Amino acid sequence: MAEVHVIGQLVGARGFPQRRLFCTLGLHTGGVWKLLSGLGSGQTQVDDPQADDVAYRCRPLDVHFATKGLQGWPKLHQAADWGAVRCWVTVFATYRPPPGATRPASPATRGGPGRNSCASVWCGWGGPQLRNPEAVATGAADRFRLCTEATSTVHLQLGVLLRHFGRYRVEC
Amino acid sequence: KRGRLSKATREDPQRPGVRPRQGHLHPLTQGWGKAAFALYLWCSQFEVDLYQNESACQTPLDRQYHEEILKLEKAGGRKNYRIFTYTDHDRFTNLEEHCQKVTDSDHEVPSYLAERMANVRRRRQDHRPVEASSLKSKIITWEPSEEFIKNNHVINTPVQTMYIMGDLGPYGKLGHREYEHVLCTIKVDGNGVITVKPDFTGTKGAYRIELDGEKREVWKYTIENASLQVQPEEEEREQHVFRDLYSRHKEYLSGLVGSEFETVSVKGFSVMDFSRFHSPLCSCCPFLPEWSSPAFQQLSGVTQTCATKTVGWDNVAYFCYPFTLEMFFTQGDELEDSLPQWPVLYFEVLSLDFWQRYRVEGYGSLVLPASPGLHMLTIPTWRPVELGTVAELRRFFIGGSPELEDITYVRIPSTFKGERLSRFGFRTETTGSVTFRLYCLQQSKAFLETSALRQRVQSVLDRLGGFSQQSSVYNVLEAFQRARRRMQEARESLPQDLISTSHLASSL
Repeated sequence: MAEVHVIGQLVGARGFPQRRLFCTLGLHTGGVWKLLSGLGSGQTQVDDPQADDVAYRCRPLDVHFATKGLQGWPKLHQAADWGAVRCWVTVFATYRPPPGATRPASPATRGGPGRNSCASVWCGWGGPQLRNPEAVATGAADRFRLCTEATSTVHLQLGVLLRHFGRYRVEC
Repeated sequence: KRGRLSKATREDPQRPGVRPRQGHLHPLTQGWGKAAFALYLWCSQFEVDLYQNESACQTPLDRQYHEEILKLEKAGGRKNYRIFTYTDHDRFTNLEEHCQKVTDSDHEVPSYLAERMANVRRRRQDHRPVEASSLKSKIITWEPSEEFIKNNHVINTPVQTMYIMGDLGPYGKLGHREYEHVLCTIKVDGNGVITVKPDFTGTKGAYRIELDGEKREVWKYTIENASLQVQPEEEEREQHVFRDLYSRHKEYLSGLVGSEFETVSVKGFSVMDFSRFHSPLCSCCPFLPEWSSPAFQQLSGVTQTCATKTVGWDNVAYFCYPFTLEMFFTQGDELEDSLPQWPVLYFEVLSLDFWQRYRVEGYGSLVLPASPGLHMLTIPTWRPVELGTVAELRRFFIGGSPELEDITYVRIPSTFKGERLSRFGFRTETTGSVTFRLYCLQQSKAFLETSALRQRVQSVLDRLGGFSQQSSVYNVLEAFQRARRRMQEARESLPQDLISTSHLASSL
């Protein structure tokens, strides 16, 4: 079986309308993937940036997968929470750091009907949340039902090590 | 009171014509995995009442139901009154999926896009652009027809659904829609995975449904898997057929490209004062010359609508729309002297605003990267324009703008056969750009030689070892290393004069 090792951290987020943020994260894989070790889901602390608008979490991520096929490559999904507001983001773990700079930024979109979201942010209550964030964030079939609003950027530092893929004649 | 649900029966794929005595039979072969499945489906009292009258029948399916119900009545009526099913083709399924909510907001209403999508769920999979006889064929559709819109703006839902329903009304009051409850949902997705929700009961207790009425009746039901186990010989035969197929395929199989993509963001669309409500969306459909993909694969998609945000000078919409594409390259004989063409991804950006005005914002295309790894591609886009102030005013105030009839016109049109491609007279306007982040994996026999070289230089992980099952060669090597270490230890513990005689051993 080929293996994928993801070692890195969730650095932080920039550009959210609120300051005190935490986020939950989950990893999703296809049926042929097996989680060898590491946590498939988790949550960060609440960070209140003092100077800039970047909330640093520095939550380590250390997961290891074994796989029999290429389908259903691991996907990381994040939901940033602050009270009633919830944002989500999908990240592929396929990221391989090029030599030198390693700081991919993945943009986040906020779910929910566009009309309400504005008011809910101001009032601080009743913000729409996704019923099934995992399915919506990682799957593409039902996306069209959703109205979203571009919000912010989440920063990740991921090192992805691949092993034994060459044995199965896979180049990646 | 107890309802029992155990009717999903697997049929012999060789004899798909066997019909049950009661109810309908829908051979749901398409997309139902390897073998042909047949599920016994029943109709509800409501449906019996409805379809008995011919005037209520709208579609050919309705008429078929009508005939079958009449036949059933002649045969002595139904035995089963309580449990019935809805399939993908029934109106209920569309309604149920149409009203599906994605957020927990009470006020969530299906967006204009979702409403449009609900009516046109199944796009023809083998859709290819129509061959036009001459180059003078229309490039722009000024008045897109209903069918055209369906074909161009809609995805094919790769999931087939069947609902097993229970009519839980009191005795003598069957056939009321408000008493219908979903007992079990069976879904078959593009990968052939059958999902049964809730799960088979097994050793757990029965599922309960509590009604809201005055009597507060409680119904319990169990779900069992009653399908016949496949005979070993049959399974072997099936495997054999597949192996045969694959081996035949492998002869030609030169490469396999599996790619993970993500539409990351769209930049710089429409810097107008109401851009807050501007939500570009994008659909992607690659057309492939000599590439094939698994039949269940979805070759097009629609993102969510996303309101833009101002970043620097640009208005940016983030989609984070993940999609996977898997394609096989089959090298034909006629390709020996020509270079293979790589698959192309076409996309268009549309906007749908607060007033449900709908505009084309841009067209673009990209050739999938030929090298494996991560690729960040930013593709600039353009849109066709109609000359004149009136057209611009119309676009601004009421929406609607010229569209391409054939999206392959973005590159070389599929109908083009000449030597020089001219777009003289076609007017466009520069719009924004779309960013894609593509991760490509390639698999081919040809890589084996290079990878064998690479394996000799073991990575850090290989030396650390310990996670996965290791190859037998590696095990042997490790055992050898262990033995050598033990021997070295033993040698060190020996007196010096003995070592000099066994000099041969140290050369190991």
